[in-house]
Amino acid sequence: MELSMDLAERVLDIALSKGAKHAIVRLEESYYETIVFDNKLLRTYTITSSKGLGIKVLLDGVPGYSYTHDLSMEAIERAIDRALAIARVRKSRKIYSSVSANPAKGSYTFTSREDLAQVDPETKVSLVKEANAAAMNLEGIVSSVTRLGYEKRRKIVVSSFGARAESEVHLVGVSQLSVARHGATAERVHDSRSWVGGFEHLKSFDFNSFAKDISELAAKAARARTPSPGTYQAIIDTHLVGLLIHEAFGHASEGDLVASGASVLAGKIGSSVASELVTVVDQGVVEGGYPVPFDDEGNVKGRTVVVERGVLKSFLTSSLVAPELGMGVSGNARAQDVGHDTLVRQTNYFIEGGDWKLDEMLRDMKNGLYLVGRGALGGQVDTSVGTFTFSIGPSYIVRNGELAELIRGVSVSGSILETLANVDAVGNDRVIRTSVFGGCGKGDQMVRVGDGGPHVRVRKIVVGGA
Amino acid sequence: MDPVRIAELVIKYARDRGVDEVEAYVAWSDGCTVSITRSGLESIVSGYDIAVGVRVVKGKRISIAGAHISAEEDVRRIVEKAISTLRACPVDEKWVSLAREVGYSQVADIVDSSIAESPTDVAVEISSKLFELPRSLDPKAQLVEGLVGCGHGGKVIASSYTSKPLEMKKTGIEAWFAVRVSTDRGEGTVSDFVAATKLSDVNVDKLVARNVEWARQCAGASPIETGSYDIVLAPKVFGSILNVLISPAVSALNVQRGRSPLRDKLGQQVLSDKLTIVDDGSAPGLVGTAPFDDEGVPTSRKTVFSKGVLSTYLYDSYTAYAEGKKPTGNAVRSGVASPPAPGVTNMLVIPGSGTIDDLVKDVKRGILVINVIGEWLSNFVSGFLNFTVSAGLLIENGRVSKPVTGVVVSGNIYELLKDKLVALGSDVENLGNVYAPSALISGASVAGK
Repeated sequence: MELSMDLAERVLDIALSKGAKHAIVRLEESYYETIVFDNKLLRTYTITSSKGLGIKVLLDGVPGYSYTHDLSMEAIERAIDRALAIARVRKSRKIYSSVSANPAKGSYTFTSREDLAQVDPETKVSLVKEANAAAMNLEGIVSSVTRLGYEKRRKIVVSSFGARAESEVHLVGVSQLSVARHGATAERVHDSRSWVGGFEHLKSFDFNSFAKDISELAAKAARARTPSPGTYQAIIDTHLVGLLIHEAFGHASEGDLVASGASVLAGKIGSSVASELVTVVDQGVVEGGYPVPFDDEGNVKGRTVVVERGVLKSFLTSSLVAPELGMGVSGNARAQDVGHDTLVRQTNYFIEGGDWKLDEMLRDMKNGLYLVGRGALGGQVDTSVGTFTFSIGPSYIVRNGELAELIRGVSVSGSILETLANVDAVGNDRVIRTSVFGGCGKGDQMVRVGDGGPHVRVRKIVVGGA
Repeated sequence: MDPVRIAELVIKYARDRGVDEVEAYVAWSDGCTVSITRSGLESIVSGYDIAVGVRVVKGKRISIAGAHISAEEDVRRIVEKAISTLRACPVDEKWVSLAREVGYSQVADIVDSSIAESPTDVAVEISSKLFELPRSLDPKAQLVEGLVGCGHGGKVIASSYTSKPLEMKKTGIEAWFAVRVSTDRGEGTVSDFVAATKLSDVNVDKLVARNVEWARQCAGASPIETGSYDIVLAPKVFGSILNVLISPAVSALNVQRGRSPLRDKLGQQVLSDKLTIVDDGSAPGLVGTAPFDDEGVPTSRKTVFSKGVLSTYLYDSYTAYAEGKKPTGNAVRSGVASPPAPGVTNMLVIPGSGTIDDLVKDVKRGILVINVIGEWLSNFVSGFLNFTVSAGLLIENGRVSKPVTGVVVSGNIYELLKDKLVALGSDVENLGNVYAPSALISGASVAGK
């Protein structure tokens, strides 16, 4: 069955006629194409696709969610019945007293000019093959894994709160993993680039140089040492700052965690939680990020200022959690796919730019570390304890205001309530990035996000090493 | 839709199109997921999933396509999609064939009928218990977050080498939760995870009681001075570290492609003689147990490290045939359309003796590590371990003293698990399919204040 606004409306009517007080219908269709070369051999050329429907109902303040990939009317009715049966489970259930909404209407497209799915498979295969070989044919490189990824995702959300929204997003990207050996030691470095769109971005991109650069960095890193463990002053580059803000603050500002007491930011609205140089924003559509014009409850995702000049202004919310927190709905209810109910998630989360130039920051700091995002693998936070961590790529010691020797990528850690308060310089060079190969994990779900910011300097961060 | 019929259709359509070899991998699941907060059971999700992955081979060219099945006619489309990219795939000279050693091993105890019959009831029951128990144990304790998944699922594999499709079914239950206790020193929060195939293997009361106690001890945690410390790893922390650093290093794919530090180390003493690690996909009733792997090869038991000596790598058919060997029943797919790769089935660490408290008694200055974050950011290629302690307790002269958080522990895993491994406990717990006891390691590098 074709996924259409008509089908979604029909399903909504059935759910309401079966007794749901309110209902949200989600239709989703996705396509993912990936080509991977591993040490000059094709590891896989895979195309996957999926179509499905999700239905959330509310009965006297209790939600129930079910889904189906089988799109026969019979299977759809079964999913509605399952959702209603769940909403009737009352044992230990949380009851929502009210729901708020800011329903989206209309169609939003962020599609490719040249659909990669229509490009001749041989052209795509040879692009990846060549880049893989370019990265492998370097002294000291023992392994090279090169990927191309392309995703098309179409969504329709219709709700009894008035949402009638449709979107289509195309995302293309490349990645490279290089392993270098130097004597008995080995090091790996990974990096990726992604763009909203399709083949047009690859035509103007030097894939071979991108892959080769990673190999060169891996070869250098294999000869580098790890830093001495301890607490350092550090400048965080525009690539790594996305991980910092996402882990060090983003998750803790998610309204569901705040409402359930699982965030150290609960009760801190109006308080100073960061240096006054810091303004933090979550924005649905922004250059460089992953476009989220509306969320999976069908609410508009606009611009949410979370921290303004150091003061905590608002949390990210869904329609269910907003009234509980006494806030407006910010449109941050997102799900990995129709197989999952929504959680409160970040969209594109970033620190706004400031006044500093990087060379001024370096000169002013004199000694410390310059922490680099290229090669970083990700991060994690325990929002209720208030501790976060993320990895860094090969980075630099800073001595007398200048970049000195390279150090290997390690892990760093800090405290949510201290790290942003310790920011003492914010650059004027904001960058936002997204990735077709990953995203952000929470519960058992992964969603695409964007994150970023300018160069940022912190007075204290814990750096692992041996 | 019947998973066996889908598999048979794939084979028929692909044969009609004249491929050399074909394989259908069908996975289905029917279950329920419940999320819990301090206000009660919040979201309950129940649904049925079925997806297929198709691998086709022609002239040593291999391609894959996969999809959720929305209607029977999707099956033909998926086969066509896989065939459409074949021509573009370069010839892989290392290709021998799809797995030929297909069949079943004898396995027991992987289906719990109470879970299979009513996954939602079981999930709601466990969730309610997790929600109510902390408060009943201590009025200052509460559940902060929880996620309970429960259900049954199965896989069907058919290929050019199966006379009829291989079929298996299994039940499972997983629960993750965090509890908090308020004290006059501040709040303490710890989290824990349980996974099993059967309800009788889940002891929620015992688990919650232990975590309430740990949360109380962890209240008001802070970083400690940078330095060298002995570390006592709780069983699941140790299991997670092995999973991140050792599992990928024994994968024959990573060995053959130059990414494993254990390349050329067969027969060598690479870990402490206190460490014997077995991979056993046929062990009764465990989380990773199945009669066949993700290519249809029967699962088996093999010792991977015998008293610290590396005795074998783990193989799927592709990596085994490349060395003229037989696959070890270790093919794992990360999704229906992912190519198989060698991985662990159940990783079993043979325990030592004594409790975690006995290990603590032997430590002069160290950390009892209860919860970590970011251990998965460790680097198996270099063997470099790093994790951040989110909940831990400082140990001074054989006794736990104050709570610790926000310190980064680092080191080379092949030093930490060789000469620096002091002892293993007898208290095996599982983190998913990794079964490990607690461990005491001396002289780890800790970055703190």
